[in-house]
Amino acid sequence: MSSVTSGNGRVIDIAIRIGIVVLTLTTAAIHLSLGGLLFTMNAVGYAALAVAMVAPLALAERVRWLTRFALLGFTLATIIGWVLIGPRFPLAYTTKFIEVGLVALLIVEILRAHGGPVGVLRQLATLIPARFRWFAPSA
Amino acid sequence: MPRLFGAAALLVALVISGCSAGNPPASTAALTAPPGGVLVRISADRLEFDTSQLTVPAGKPILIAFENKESAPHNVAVYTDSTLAQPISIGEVFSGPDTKAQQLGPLAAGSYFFRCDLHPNMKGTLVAQ
Repeated sequence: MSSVTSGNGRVIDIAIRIGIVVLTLTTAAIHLSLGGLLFTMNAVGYAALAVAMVAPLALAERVRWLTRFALLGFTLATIIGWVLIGPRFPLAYTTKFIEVGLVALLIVEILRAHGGPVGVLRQLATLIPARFRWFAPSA
Repeated sequence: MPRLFGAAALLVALVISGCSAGNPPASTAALTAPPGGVLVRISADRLEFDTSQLTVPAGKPILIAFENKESAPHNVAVYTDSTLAQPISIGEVFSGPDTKAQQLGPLAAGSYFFRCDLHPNMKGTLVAQ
């Protein structure tokens, strides 16, 4: 959240982060209530990522951008997994609705934090070893 | 941030309590076999069915009385075999304690596969003979 740090932008950033954490913990709680190893592991994953999103630790803050992408990937994987093999019942649809909202909020936060799609690509390019970075946007 | 944690924890507690607040158990005694058919009872508790084998008469209508004894949602889904390629009867997913009836059309003699669609480890064989 480095690009917008004052005034209304700061308030919006906080609101988005709260939304992300609330939706993440909600879907974690729902998965936990379903029982079984797979759902429990999914719930633990969501809960851990929710904590990593707000943990006031230097290390957590340094890799927050990576946490956002991890949570986005985790949520998309959960949605796709359900589409492919998940059972269809009302609570499942509710959960997917929540997760789609979570994906939307994460995309908004990622774009705001990196100043747009090019900034996102530049940040992601840092994950690529330097010798393979000739094709990526320069940071 | 502490406020954020507090609000999130409250919401999670509300969701968990909402998910685990089950309906009162329905009376399984009220369920009766369909005309000329049979009533089969099965229950789920602690992420297990009470039986891994159901036996029904072939060629007769069947009513499955499924009692879910726990808050975790379950269903009874019957397929031709464990590949799940051909579903025969997919029961409603519901949280317990509650009981739901599920119709199963007359089956040809043979062996079928049933499971809980949410918890694939809960499974068994349905034999029509």
